[in-house]
Amino acid sequence: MGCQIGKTNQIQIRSKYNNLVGIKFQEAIENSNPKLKQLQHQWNQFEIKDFGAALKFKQSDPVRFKKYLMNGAISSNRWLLWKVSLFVENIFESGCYEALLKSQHHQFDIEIEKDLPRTLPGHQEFHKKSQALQNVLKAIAIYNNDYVTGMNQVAGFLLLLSGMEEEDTFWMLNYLNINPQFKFLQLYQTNDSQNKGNQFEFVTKLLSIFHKHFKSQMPQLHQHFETQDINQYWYIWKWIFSLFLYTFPFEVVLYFFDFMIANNILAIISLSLALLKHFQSHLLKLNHAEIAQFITQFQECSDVFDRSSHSDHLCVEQIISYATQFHDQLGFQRLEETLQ
Amino acid sequence: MSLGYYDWLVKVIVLGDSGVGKTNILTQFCDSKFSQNYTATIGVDFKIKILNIQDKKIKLQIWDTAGQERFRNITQTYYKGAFGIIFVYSLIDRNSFNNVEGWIKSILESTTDEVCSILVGNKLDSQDRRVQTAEGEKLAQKYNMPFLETSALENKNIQDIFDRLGQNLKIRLENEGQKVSNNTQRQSGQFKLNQEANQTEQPTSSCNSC
Repeated sequence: MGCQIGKTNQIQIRSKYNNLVGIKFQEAIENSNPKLKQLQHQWNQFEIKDFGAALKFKQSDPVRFKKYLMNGAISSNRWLLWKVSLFVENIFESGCYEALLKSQHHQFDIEIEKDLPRTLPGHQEFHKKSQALQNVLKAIAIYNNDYVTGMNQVAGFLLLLSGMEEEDTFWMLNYLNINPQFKFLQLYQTNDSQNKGNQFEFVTKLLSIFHKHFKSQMPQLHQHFETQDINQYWYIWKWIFSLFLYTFPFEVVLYFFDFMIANNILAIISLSLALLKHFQSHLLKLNHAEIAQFITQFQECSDVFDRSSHSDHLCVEQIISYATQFHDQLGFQRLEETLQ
Repeated sequence: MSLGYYDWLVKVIVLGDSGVGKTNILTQFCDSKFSQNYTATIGVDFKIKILNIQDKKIKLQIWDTAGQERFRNITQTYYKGAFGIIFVYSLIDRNSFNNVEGWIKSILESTTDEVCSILVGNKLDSQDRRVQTAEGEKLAQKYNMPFLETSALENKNIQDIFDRLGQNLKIRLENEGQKVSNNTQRQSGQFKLNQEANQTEQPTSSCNSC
């Protein structure tokens, strides 16, 4: 049942890229799916050599810029495109990163240290405590005065993509955070009201948006989840809280990130709805325990890019296509309005 | 008797500071493996395992919780209806031992139900012990619960946690069963007696081992 765990060559492909970083890491993922290599063509017509050129493209043709990024970047331009897409103002300060690393012990040190060996465990860089990850998390925690488990996954993933460039990763996280369409760190913020205890306020809001649309868009599956007593902490909560990294393999999350960064933070919801829609007919056949296993173990899924009719296989293009529809139809382009 | 048959369904939660090995204990117990590749628990996870205690089958629905303070509000919503509690600290993390009483109190405060608990000091494999056995024993005595030192890494005493807990659960459940039959009005939300046990159910399918 479910995703066919550990059976095919997908696992071998993974072992090939799980010791790579940077562009090589992305290329290995690209090569695992010939279909996605075709993305090369859409980008070939543009000369995107540096930040300035990419910014010019975004400013002169924002619609096309967004559309192309949504469909997937390529390894040679992804990091640049993300930076340009998120860019709102220049926050880079030379020497800032080093200065943060020099600061003395900090209240988040212990929590960060505990999370180091348990971040993205599939990848070799993080098998042992990664100094690079420790540095980035420390700097982020001090710069923003916050650290919560979950941030480590996102920081670790960005580190891999950047080729373990700590400072670059640090600033990318901050761009993700200051961009009003994302405000990344609000995912981890709690309100500390006395009577309610601390609650993840923004995540709670996203959850309610998700449940509302889950019910209206897929009533049958929603009903099935209710009957089978499926707990939101098994799936949507983790998908939101770790930007899919807790549950899904890199080759999927990479393209989810392209989609999210081209849009806004509500893209998490579009993608989540798209995933459920993609697996709907399969999930409807499963009972409580089977669903619990299926939706929590995509990490071990093989045949991620299988385009066959198997409804239990992850298919990136299909999911992105559903997510695009949801994002438009549900008015998620209008962030402020939706969050009201 | 079908594979899905069980006498009781019991909710168990595992509590303790971040990084003491809660998830690893459960993975060792449910899937018979120690995973070097594990992620920090965010929110809650759960596993199911059938425990055989003498002639009875207890179906455990075990909730694994995130130890980090920030998730407390979420994990607390799972206290309700829990009948068994496993408190875990790490033998090499003094703070995690000092915080055990805080975890116990959080249970006492939020539920009036009587629960079966057990105290577990994990990471017995490590050379760098910071909490002595006598200290653990004393704490367990104070709260009247059994105590074990374990190693999830070396699979030492892991099964014992659940056997010890299971023994106590069985005694309690049989007593409750008496009470239930003495007073048919009484309905306990904590556990379900002699479930109509969905015959088609695959009881272990939530564990990776199968």
